[in-house]
Amino acid sequence: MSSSQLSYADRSGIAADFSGEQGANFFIPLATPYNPDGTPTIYAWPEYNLAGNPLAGILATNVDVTYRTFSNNSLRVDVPFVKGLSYNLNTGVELESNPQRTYYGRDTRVGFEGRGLASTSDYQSRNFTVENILNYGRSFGKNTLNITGLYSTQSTGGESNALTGKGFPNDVLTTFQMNTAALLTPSSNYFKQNVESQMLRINYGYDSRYLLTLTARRDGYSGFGLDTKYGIFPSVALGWNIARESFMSSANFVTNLKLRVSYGLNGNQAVSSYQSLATLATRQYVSGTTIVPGYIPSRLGNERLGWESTRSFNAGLDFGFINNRIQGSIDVYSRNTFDLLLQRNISSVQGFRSIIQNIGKTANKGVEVAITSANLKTGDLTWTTSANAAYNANKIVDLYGNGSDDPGNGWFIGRPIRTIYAIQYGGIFRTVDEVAASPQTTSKPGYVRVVDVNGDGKINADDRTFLGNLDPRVTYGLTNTVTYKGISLMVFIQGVGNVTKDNPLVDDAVFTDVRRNTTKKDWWTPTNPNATHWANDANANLLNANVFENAGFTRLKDVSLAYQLPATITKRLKMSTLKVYLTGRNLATFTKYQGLDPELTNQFGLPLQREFLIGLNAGF
Amino acid sequence: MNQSVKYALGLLMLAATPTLNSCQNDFLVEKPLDILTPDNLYVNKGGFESGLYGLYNMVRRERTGTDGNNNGLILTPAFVGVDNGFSLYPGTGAYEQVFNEFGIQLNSSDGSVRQTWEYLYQVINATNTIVGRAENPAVVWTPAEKNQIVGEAKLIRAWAYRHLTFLYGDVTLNLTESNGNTIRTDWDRTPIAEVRKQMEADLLFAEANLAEAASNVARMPRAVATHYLAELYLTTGENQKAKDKALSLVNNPLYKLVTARYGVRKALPGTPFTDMFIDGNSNRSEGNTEAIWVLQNEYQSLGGDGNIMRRWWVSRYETIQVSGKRPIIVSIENGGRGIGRFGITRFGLTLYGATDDRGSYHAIRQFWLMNNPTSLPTGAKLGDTVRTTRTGPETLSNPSWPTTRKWDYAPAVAEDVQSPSGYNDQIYLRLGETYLLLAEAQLKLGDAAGAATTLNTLRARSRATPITAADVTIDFILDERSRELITEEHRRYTLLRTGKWLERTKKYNVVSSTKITERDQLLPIPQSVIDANLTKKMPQNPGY
Repeated sequence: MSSSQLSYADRSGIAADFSGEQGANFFIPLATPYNPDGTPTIYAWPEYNLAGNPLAGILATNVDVTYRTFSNNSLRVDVPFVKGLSYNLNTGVELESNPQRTYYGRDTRVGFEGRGLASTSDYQSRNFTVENILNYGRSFGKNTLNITGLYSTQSTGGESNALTGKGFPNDVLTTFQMNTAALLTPSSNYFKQNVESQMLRINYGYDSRYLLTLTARRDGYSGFGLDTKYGIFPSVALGWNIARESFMSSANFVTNLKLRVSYGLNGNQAVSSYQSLATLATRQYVSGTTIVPGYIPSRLGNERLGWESTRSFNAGLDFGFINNRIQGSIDVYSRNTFDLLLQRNISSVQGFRSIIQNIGKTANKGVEVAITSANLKTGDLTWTTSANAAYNANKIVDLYGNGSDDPGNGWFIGRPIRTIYAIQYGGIFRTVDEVAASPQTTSKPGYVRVVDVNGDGKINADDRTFLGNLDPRVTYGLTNTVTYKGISLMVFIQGVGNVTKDNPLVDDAVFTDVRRNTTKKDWWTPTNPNATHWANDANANLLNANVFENAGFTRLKDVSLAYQLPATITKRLKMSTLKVYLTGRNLATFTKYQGLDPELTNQFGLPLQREFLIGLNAGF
Repeated sequence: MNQSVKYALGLLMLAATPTLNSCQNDFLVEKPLDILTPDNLYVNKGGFESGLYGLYNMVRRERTGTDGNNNGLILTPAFVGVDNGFSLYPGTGAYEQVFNEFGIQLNSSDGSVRQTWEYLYQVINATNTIVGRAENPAVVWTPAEKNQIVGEAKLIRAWAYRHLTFLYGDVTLNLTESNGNTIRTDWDRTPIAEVRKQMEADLLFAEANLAEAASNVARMPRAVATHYLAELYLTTGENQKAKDKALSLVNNPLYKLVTARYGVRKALPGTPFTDMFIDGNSNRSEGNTEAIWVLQNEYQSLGGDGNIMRRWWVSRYETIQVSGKRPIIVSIENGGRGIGRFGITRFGLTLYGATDDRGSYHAIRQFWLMNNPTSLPTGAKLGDTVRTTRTGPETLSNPSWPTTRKWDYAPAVAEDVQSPSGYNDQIYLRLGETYLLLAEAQLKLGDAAGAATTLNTLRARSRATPITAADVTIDFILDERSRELITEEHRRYTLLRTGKWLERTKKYNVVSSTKITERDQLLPIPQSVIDANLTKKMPQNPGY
């Protein structure tokens, strides 16, 4: 079998800068973004020449296209004389080329100051996969046996050559004038990562009632240290199809009932190539006008970098009752991950801030439930509900084998790995007396109070405390669908709970010289002493106490109302189907979180949009 | 299997060739083509030299800015929060504001305090890498080549420990290249005397092995080691040794104070003293006989980088308002663009006698020229002057505050006067300071007359009036250092070395005088370092 694809994707164009350091979100509202002739200005804020116009991106010439060739070829050989034995060879070849060219002319700040700024890069990557699969499958009476052996390799690599030039005689030739640049900065990049895998899997079934799967894998990854490239990952899974047992034959309401239990080890290679190698960074110098090459150590090697492994136990029950009118599954699991691949902050007297290491042990325990129920099925009216919910508790079990915590990384035994460990915002000082009685004696009314957690009369790093968990413990979703004749209404609600998040919008980070815009607040002033927010003063929160909030939310994610015209009408219109629908997305969010959106990573970024969609589906 | 199947199989194998034909043992061995590793760089003289140039780049970062955007002077505490320097326009929460405000703002979690520490230890690890790997017998070089290179690396190691000990007190003495297989969590703070013993050994080695004249302008000559030895001996109270070292350099015929006009602007009004700071004049090859070590920059050059001395020390004069107008715009004549993070205290500005070139308008800006035809006050014309603030103590955010011209003598580039960076080569060490070290040693050895003679030689060059032995006290020498080296020297270190930081900063720095305490003589050890010392408690400096 062979299948090949050629694809072309064009992502050209640079968007206006919304959330960047000098993006529109932070920009002065009194800016002059456009010249009288309607073109964007170079400096939208003339008094502040470090900020270009956030719209500059739309003036840039940018080409960013990707060409991809993808070919999958496979061959199956049924080995003669041995019934049930077959050999499969799967190969995949993927070639990608991604040329990029950008030019900022003199109508943008960077182009104006650099007398044109051009950058080009050519990125080429390759991905080769080869899988050799030997399969043997037979049935002997009530026994079924399936044995699969796999040997595979995967190789991914690429390189890029890039050139940045500035100082051009004019903007006419955009990126096609590198030969005239006053300063050219070339750079090149290369990477390659290889994976080798061997696997043996045995599936055994008896009477479709008892199922056993044994798997053993051995994977090797080039990105790990010389002696730690390979990991061995065995697992066992058992299934019991209870519904097929004879003693269940009288329980007519049970359509499906299956118990699953599995135990095994999984590997994770979550680091990119060369992370185990010590590297040097380029730091050139100059002697007169002669450039002299210079290097300094830039990364610690770690010859022992290896697989992150997870030992998991999972027990699940799949069920279906009353002809599957009610069906679903319940899973409970316990996953112990060890040798986690983590970027660890180390003492910088070693000349480096951090190193990637295999560290510690964590435990995840959780429950996942999914259920779908056809609540109503009477004539023209149907009502279906699907619900799913998951609970996961994560904690660190061990870090370095000696039971000690690691405050520098915010890792504490017994606490979630993404726990928040920081100084605590304690409201604002209201009076001079409150300031005098606090450890922040140089503070003022209206300024931020930091909680003296250990009560030693000083505010310092010893007052850091636990303020929540960045990962939600609870996630859930609920879909209700009601259909009456041709009309159907679907409502999808989703949410997370038990999660905490920093709210940067509370922070009046107006930056030095008040260069950034901020959200309007109920600021403290001498005449507004009961304000909810601290004074609008650059020095009000010098210790940078962050405000953390409950970021749990419930969102009315999708509501869709559709009407399918009856066949009598469509027939008359000589159509096979005709459906009109109205869909609303992100219609309402219920949360205590005061930021832009509890789900967004960047609270200064573009928010989720509320979308309405009116559609017509016609078939002839 | 029939023939056609075999044929198809063969084709598929061919498609798979790129991965299959490599030897399986090699398949997972990484061969990075774009990364240099210490193992393949430090194998010969050329490799070690590029390691050294990496170090020179790191030293230059002292004046480059820390954020890639020409902001943040990584050794800020060496310049402000002292008797003659303060932050004129402090950035919110920025390093210079910390050293105006002290108190709760100077704390172990401060990002800048941490960044400085990390920077210096990054330099130290890079020097340790060179010093350690130089012992590899497989390296191809002569003993002299080796000692020259190791000497320069050791000198830069001593340079880094000089900063660390003055800033943080007892610090970890780490002399071996770090290795990812042995991450330590039990570092000690080595007593400062022991660290200084190591600095002495490193500097003596450098002095014994560095060439008298550097092989190129990028590299340090032997005199740098001698100069730093003189300062170190003053710090440790070994005054005779300090005098010997300083004297040997003062008497070295290679180095002479600049006493006459020279260089690219010789014909224009100016002084011998200020000629040294003019772009095109700072290197020895350009006629600066006083230069010991000059940091190299170059405009639009991949190794050239830039410095932010002008950006940091020149005020925001273009925002001066006269009768509601803004008659001054950034120009080369007015000194290029600055953002005035740092300023000289009124005390620093008023130390000069009437005839002293170092306080003249060639050295310290006293007026700007109106050059904005679109915003002239009524009755004013282009070329009229706007004077700097003549009297009163320093205040924040005053665009009219007088500024040094040492760095504005190198306006960026004519076509880009707004540029945040300067590209001049900058004097880093010069013989003028060695004279001051000599005078200090002489005074401490009881030879006030000798000290007066030394100081008068230096003063005469700038037409300052002669002094007598009776005038020479440690405070006088500190004043003289300010007159000569303002914005050049690491003032904090000088004041700490002489035990005068708290007294003189309280007395002369109006912005910080009421805010500083005994505690502030040392910075806090960064919390990240204390936190990472998991298996041994690393003590914090007192009061933090």
